[in-house]
Amino acid sequence: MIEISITKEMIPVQQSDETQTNNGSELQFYGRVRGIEDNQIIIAIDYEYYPGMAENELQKLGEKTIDKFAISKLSCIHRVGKIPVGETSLRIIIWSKHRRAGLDAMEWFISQMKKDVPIWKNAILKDSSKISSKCQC
Amino acid sequence: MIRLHVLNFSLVKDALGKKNIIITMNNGVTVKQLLEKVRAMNKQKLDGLPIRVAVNQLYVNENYTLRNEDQVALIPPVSGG
Repeated sequence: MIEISITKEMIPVQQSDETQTNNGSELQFYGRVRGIEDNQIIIAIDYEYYPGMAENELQKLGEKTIDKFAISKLSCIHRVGKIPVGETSLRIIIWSKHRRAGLDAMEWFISQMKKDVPIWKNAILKDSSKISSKCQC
Repeated sequence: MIRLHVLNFSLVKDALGKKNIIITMNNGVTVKQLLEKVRAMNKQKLDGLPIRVAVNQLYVNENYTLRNEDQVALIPPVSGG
């Protein structure tokens, strides 16, 4: 099962799902906006995306991940727009029977997302100027 | 002639100064030829920048033949997360 979404709203912390009784592993990953980008102090990141294609690419990536690894469920929310330092930009949760498949799937999903999903970072400095962030693949 | 709706993102948008542009080209034009034309618009800023292309929201290669009214996205290296 795959749940994918892109939102302009804050991403809430997710309580552990104790109904997943067949899955011994639940991994939650939160990506947050750092206060330093390219050795400069920033106040936020403005995430630009390609509406429609970004969702489709995330969905396709989720399907590939489920096919490639022994995981049961993958949930991914990516926030876009202006996100202040410290707030969550990305939340991924993966449920699997055993931890190894979940850990491998998480690493692979994030690495592929940073290659294929049309989302870009623009860091905003204190003086409101912007710098396009380089991919830290 | 065909008319292409070109969407520019991130560094490509910065270089060309516009989010959307309409480009008219000859029938049978490929993605490679479109990229050559776009790079010629602002060679300095786009020089050396890898650009992937999506047509109607699907990635295509440089040999893909474009059609009238295609939506063509110019996608520089992505950086989500």
